[in-house]
Amino acid sequence: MGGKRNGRAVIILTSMIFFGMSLWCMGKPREEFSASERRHLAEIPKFTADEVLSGRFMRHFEEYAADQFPMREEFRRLNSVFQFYVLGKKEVNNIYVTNGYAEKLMVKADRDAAEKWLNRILYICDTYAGDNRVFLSLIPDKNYFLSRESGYPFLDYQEFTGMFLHGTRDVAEYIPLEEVLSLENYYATDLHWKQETLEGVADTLAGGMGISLSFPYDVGEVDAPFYGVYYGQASLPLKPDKLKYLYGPLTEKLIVTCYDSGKPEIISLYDMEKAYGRDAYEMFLSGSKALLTIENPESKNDRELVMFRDSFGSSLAPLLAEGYKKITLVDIRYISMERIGEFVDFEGADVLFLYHLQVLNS
Amino acid sequence: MLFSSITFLYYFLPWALLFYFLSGRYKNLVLFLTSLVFYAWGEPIYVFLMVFLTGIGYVFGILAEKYRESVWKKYLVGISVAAALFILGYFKYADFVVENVARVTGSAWELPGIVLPIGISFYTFQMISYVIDVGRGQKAQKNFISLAAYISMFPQLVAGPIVRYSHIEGQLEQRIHSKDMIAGGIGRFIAGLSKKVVIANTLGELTQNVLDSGQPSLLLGWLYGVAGAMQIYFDFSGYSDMAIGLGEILGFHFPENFNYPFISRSVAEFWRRWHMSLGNWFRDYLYIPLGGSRVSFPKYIRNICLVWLATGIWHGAAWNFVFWGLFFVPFFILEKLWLGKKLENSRILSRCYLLFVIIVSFLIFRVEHMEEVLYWTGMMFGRGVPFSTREALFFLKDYGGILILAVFGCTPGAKHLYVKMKSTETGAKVLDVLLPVCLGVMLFIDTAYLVNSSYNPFLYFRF
Repeated sequence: MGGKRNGRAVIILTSMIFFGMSLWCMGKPREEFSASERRHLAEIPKFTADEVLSGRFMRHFEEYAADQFPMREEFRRLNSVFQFYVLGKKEVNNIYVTNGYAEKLMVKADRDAAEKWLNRILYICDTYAGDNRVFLSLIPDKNYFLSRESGYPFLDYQEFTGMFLHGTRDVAEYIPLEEVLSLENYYATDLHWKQETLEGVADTLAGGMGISLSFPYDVGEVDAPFYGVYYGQASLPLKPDKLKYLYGPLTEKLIVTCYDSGKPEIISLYDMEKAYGRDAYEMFLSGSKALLTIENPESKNDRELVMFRDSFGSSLAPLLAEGYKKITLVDIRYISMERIGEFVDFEGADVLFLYHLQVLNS
Repeated sequence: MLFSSITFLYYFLPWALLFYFLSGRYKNLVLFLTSLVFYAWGEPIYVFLMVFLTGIGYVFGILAEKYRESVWKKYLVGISVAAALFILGYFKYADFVVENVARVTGSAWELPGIVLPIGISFYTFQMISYVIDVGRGQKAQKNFISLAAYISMFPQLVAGPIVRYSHIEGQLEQRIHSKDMIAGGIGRFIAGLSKKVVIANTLGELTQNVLDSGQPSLLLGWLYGVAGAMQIYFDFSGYSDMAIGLGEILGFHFPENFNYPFISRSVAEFWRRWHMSLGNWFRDYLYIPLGGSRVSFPKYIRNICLVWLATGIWHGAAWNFVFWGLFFVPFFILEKLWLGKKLENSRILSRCYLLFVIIVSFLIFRVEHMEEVLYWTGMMFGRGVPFSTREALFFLKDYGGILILAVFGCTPGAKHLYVKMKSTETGAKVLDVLLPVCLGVMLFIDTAYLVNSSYNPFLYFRF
């Protein structure tokens, strides 16, 4: 280890780092939430004899130490940049970036998960929607478009969707969306689609279900950058998206009721507070909700739609509201399937299952 | 506690070193106490076992010295070695033995379910070497704290190298702390940390991705073999570098444990370069006492088989480790009989031979069922699989950078470059500036990996 100056410099510099970071670790105020990863950070574990002797205290302390490390976001960024630009990694934390889009690698089909979803759909059809018109539509993710051009591995899409098509062929009519979607419909830093680009999707679904839409909207924009979920996960220097939404005389008249608290509660179609919150996409119908209704007092018919959906449905459902008197949105990830009948009236309603590929594969 | 953890780097190490350097003539006591904290962090109960084993070594060391000239010496050394091996055997091999005896006899015995204390093989071997060396004429350590500091010393406690008592006896009593040695130790520690965190863990991710892949191909087989072998090397040698570096900071000179083993040209040479402290231990305490190679051919084969059986099973109580150890025996014999001479004639052939043998050996090392070795070697020869798949090609591209870095890191290229630069005036000046900066940057990068990482395995939990 070189000359005297060299040795002294090494000792001084590294001591400063070790002691400086150590003191900072111990003195730094605790943070509760990581906005970029959208998760709660570990808290200091309980220090009891039982916890220590069982080794739990030590295990949890490791998590705590990593989660509460000073400048954690900057270190995560440094790690991603080093992997991506220095080591030439093609993905970081399972997120790859190509053509300006960040996307999560989805190499393997989770057959068990897919089968569970298929069984859920079949159970609902069998239990509640025996005489209803039932439709199924699957939303391809960005991988579907990106993998063709970039060579990133992607699960066998035809086989995966084929499993659902084949499994539901006797109970539901399939409305394909692949042809009306392209990369431009998705945010660059998030997994979701952009509401302002969904005219084709809404038309296709409406056409498939036998209704027509006139799409009478203007485009509004949230005046804050939108950092999608992949932005935080990749922790790479990506350009943020713009969060836009469609509004017009119709959207102002739609009545959105949420039933999650046990009693009906009127909420906004677009929650502008959430547009500036941790996950801005939650502005659409206030994010994850088990049961919602959108009523259209201006409707020219009495048709109703029961839509089983994930978060993609939150931005799409308002656009279908023009063709229905009432849309009921059900997210079966948050409500027991056995109890749906207690809250949802299926009488004469169209039933639409609209799910994103990633949800069905997890 | 893992060296490659935020807890060690920023909660334990700075303060352990500060107390150590401020402790004046109580350095061994502070070293012992900090080592207890270090070990208790991972093994809060078994820390007492380590102290108990140290106590056995201490008492029997003194007795062996006292009765060195009498017939009792043999028994005293024997008893202490047997006690250490019994403890090691009980904690490490009881489940394995019960399981296999039950299988052979068809009994429905319940497994004892004993949890293996981390590092038990390392500190047991250090204690055994101490008592045997005393029996052979080494001076016994009268100060319990000094002996305890030697056996429990945190830098080499959980992953080696196995430091012989004779090697650091003098340093336990008196050691020099120089600026250059401390700086050198810091450099070695950070280099080892980078080998573990940046290279080994990333290669570990690759091997895990390959294992999870459902698309076998020839390329995938080779990726698994090559990445798996290099992961073990960088992980293990990284830990050794960290241990040696920490030793230097504390004023100790630990023996080297790895010397670019992948550039070897024969299996015998590989084992002179791989986990050298273990190889030397078995050579001095098993192979040579058995007669080594200066015996009849059948006895030589017996000696080789015993040493490699012991080497294999030392790494873990499972059949794959038994096969892994014995796997090397035919190569040793063949190389001694005629292959060794042939290999000397061709650099390329000898390197290809060695790398293939080692890659296959590490497949045996990693697997849980021996059929998996056939599966992966079959894949490496393209048996019933395509040359490549989209997924395998992606893995190659994704991890190409780290694979190139790892291959380069397996050679002494960087070391040669450093020595060459240092030998010129300009180069030395550049290094004076560059080295501290590089170490600081590497430490930040390692920290970034630890903060961001979900994959940081400890491979030696079975040792």
